[in-house]
Amino acid sequence: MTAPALTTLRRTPLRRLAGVDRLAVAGAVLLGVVVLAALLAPWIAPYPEDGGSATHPLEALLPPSGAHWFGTDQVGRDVLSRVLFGARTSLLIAVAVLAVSGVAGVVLGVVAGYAGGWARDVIMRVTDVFLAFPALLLSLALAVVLQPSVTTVIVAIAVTWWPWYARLTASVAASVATRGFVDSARCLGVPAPLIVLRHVLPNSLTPVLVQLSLDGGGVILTAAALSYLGLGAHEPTSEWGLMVQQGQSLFTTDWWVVTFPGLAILVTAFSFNVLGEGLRARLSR
Amino acid sequence: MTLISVQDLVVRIGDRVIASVPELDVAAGECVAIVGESGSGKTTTLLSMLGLVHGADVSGRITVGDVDVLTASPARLREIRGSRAALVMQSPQAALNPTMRLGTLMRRALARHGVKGADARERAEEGVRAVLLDPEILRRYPHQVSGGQAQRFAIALALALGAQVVLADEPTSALDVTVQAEVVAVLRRLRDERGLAVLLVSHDLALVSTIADRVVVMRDGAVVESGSAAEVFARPGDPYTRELIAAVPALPEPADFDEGEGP
Repeated sequence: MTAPALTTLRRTPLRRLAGVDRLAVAGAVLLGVVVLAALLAPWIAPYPEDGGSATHPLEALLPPSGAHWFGTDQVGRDVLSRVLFGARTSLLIAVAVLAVSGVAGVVLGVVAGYAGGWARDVIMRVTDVFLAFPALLLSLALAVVLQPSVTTVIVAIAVTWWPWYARLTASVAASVATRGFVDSARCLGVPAPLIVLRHVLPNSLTPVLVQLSLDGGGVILTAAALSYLGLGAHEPTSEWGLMVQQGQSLFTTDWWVVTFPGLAILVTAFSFNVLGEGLRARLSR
Repeated sequence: MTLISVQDLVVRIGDRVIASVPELDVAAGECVAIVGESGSGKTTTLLSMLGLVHGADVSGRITVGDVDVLTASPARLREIRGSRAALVMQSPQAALNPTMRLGTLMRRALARHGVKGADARERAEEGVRAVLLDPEILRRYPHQVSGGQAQRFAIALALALGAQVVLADEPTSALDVTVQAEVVAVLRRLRDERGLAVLLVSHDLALVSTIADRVVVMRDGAVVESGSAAEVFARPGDPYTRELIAAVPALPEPADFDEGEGP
């Protein structure tokens, strides 16, 4: 009897922050910085016009200095400004992909998981078809067919992303559907759609939320890959993958052009992962 | 007044009969207990009262009030579930959605049966008071209440919905002994004071002897004996009933479970 009481006593907010949650907090803070950079880009970027199509041929490829902390690229634009504006593009893609694929996956998954029978079979076989293709290849194929743009990237990634959420939600919802409160809702005369909405859905979301935050980094990496291959964002949009592609041939002479956008991708993907891991540890306790 | 009436109920899966009840009536102010071991068909019998047996053939005739359960439309069945006869389950906390406050659950259940606004609030509080709970409990989440409170809340929900029959499936087997007495005391009081009918399913003969007016003994899906509780316990006619009674160490006197706020 004493052991559980002690754990309760010890689980004060401060202790929680100091424990496993430090990871989640670190991820959230890091991601918060990226989000702030994205939101405030027009105001905090030293050369806001460089986020777009401006060119300054005379200032091309200047190394990092007091005037250009991250140096300038091959047409003289400030790399720091473009990295800040690039955060907008990357986060927009990440949020849009996660929202579209998350909603589609969760809706289909919860229906499949609760209804079972033929509805589940149909939905799960369709997700199997999508999962049968390597995700990046399917995204590539789609991006090739569509016009290269940010929207294309979002569509191409979302199409390969939702089946994972559908699968995950279906398995969780199927187990939630067997729990007592679902039976008792049925015994109170609650019709099936409301049971799904109010009882099965809210109790199936936790693992999906964790997965969504873990996947944010993956989406940003995939988006960068598509743009790097010339299938996503194009000039003069500031996009990290595109900037890496444009700067890679200069790496030996002008390392800053490729390094800073590369680091931005790394930091953002990392913060999503750390946040997700932290949430998982917190919620599975 | 007969609230539930069952005639020639047979529940089959394929060729196998999982429950067969030739006759069973539950009147207002009466507690009828169905006893038997696991797999004897008692829960199936209970669930069939609300048309909740799935994947099996149900035949015969079941009337709840004036509704013929086996021929009623799904919408009509949803209407009577909860408002005519409400189920109280074995595991009280599992029966409550962990993401919903008890008050929200109560309010939504009432709205489902057409009771809204101030009227709903009044009925919710009245129901909760009738089972000796503080209305403050409506603000809590399921993990913030004890098993006994959760089980009494389930009964309060039935009362608020206007149910005249409570279908209780092993309502106390997940609770410890003092809390069991509490729940039984509440059921007895509601039966005596409000004429609530209770159809109780249990394998716990000690519990049954403290509350049941009539007893139906089931084994392997069939009724082996039925009659008034006093009769069945005093002179069990069937060898199986005798076995069940012999398996109980010592039946406590009903007086031991008398009402009160606890031990």
